[in-house]
Amino acid sequence: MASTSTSTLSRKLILKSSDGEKFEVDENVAMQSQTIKHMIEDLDDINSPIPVSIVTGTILSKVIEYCKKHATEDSDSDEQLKQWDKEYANNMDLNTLYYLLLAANYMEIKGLLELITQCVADMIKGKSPEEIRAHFNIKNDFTPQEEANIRNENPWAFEN
Amino acid sequence: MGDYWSMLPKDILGIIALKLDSIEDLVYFSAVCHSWNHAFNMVKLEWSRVDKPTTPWLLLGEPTNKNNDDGCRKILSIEKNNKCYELSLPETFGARCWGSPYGFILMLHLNKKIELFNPITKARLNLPSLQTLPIDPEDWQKLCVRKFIILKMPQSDEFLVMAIHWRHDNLAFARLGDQTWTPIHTSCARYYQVIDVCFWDRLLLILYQDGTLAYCDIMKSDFTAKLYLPVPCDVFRYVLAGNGEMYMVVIDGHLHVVSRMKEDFLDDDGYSDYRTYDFFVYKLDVENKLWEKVECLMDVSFFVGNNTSMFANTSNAQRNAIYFTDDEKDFWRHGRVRFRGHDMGVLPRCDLRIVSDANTFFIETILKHHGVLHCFSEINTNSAIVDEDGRLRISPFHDFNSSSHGCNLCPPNLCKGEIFTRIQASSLEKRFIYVGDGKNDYCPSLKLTVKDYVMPRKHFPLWDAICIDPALIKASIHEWEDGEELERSLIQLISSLMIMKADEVLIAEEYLFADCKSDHVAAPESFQKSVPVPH
Repeated sequence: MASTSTSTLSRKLILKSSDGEKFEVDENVAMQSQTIKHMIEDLDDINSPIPVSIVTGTILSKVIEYCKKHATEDSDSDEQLKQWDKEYANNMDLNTLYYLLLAANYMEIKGLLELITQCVADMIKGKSPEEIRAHFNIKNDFTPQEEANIRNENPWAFEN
Repeated sequence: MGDYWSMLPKDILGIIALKLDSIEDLVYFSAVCHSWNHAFNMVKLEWSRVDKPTTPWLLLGEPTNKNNDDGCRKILSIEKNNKCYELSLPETFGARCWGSPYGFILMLHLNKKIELFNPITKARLNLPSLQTLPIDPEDWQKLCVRKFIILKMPQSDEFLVMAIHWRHDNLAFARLGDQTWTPIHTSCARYYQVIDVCFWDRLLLILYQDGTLAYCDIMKSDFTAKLYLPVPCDVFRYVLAGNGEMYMVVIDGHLHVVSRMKEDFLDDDGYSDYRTYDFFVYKLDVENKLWEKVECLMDVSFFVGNNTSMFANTSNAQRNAIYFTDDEKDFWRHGRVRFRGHDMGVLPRCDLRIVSDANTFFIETILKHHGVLHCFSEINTNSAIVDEDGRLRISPFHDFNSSSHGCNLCPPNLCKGEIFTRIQASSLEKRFIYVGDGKNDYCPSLKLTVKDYVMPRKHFPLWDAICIDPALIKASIHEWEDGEELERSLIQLISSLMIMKADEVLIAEEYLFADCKSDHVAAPESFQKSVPVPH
């Protein structure tokens, strides 16, 4: 399926993670990221590595995995792609999800951001504030007075 | 692992919050920590505007018989198994309210001020005053607006509020920020009132009381209704013949009309009253411009009445049910009439099955004659065919020549208990009401559990058998003597079951009672049958 007719398809870019790891990717894969797309437009020499400053190599490799899947126009149906997304997100631990969120946000990859925020929202659903804190290891930084005020805004939700 | 989830950028937290689909989840989200709380405050207005397939909360009526100084209103969450919340909503005090799918209710205050109000975020959005509606001043006294409908402009977040009022050219709209209501000229069906409005793709559809359907290209600033479909010949005749209401609901691009059947009756004290007893759902076949009756709506529930007509995919709620509230046109009717505001409830689609030792030919002929064959999901009986000589040939349900069903209580050709066991196994969480009179109804009656009901006909073999030792029957026993008593008692029973489902006796007492009549259960006297009603 490789075609040489359009040179842009076969152009390669090099992405460099915050910890110095380099990844060679097809341009259309990297273009999933709006941030990188804008960077390329301003770039004179596309052969020099493009710094993805806040994303580590481990996370960047996962981001690229996602972009590759979504860049190829093969025969995957929407249904299959959804299934792939689901498995992709389910295989991430909480730590990775967090950094993927930051990466997707920074790199402006809309689909990935949608996917991971949905995955996090699904984790929140049906949990009480205490359960949410425990799940995400979040410290309760409210003073007792503040907490009481918040509960009083919606007392119905906190009755047993 | 550090506490870094609290340090997520606010805009990411905001996106996450917008993906929560119940109000409870959103409120809990806000109570996690400071940064999450900020994110909640940032998106709370937007949250209620995002289209989400959520099951609505039901705002119950304003308490009338108690001190209610703090403006408490009860809200029922079907999604959370009919949990009832009490919210302090002094803002709603004295106002008439209409619900919508967008988190906002419309409040009409006594001073004629109209606003949208979100009971959770407390956001209030102003609409033009009632005084700018093109209404005859004489109509003020009649509580001139029948219904407000909150819509969203296609492909936009902008609200469009429709008001259906009394005059025959009786439709007007307003957007947020408008100074006055703008009339829509609805002269399509001259003598009939507009009764519901919705968006269908980019067109505003208008349904009239006689079933005429009109459209208005409001997106192109054309405020005149044009005919889309004339009065359907006989489709809505049931509704039109009596006290009916109709509602429009668009599901996946398909236009549905839900028609509601009401009847008048005299209550025990001789007051005239009304109640809803059934619903029909129709779907528009666009190509042929025909209305088709819809028998089964999988996993969809409708919410109609005094609100913007809507549906939800309900997983926890009663599947395939219709929730309805009172939207009687006259606020107070003349003479000895009860207040409006009581005709509300849930119409579950009771599953009706027949287990009978008669035969398919008799049963189907009789049910067809009464027009109720479609109400039954299953008929278990001896099969029958009419042969070439015009003779009825009946073959046993259970082929006893090859093997026995092994039950010595039942005749060899049919063990109703065996059939019932199968139905029971496939409907684990359901309650059964078993109606019967024959001796062969005794075997399945023994299989009913404590949550079920058996309704034997008095002085008939089933009743005699039960009377020998009632302790053997685990189900509650409700006897009956004639069709009338069966009907009364069955309806009462189903109503009480619905109330029990609401989990909250308080609600049951005051507001929510099921005004549902199961579909024509009262059996014609002429043939033997039993109708378990898994519920």
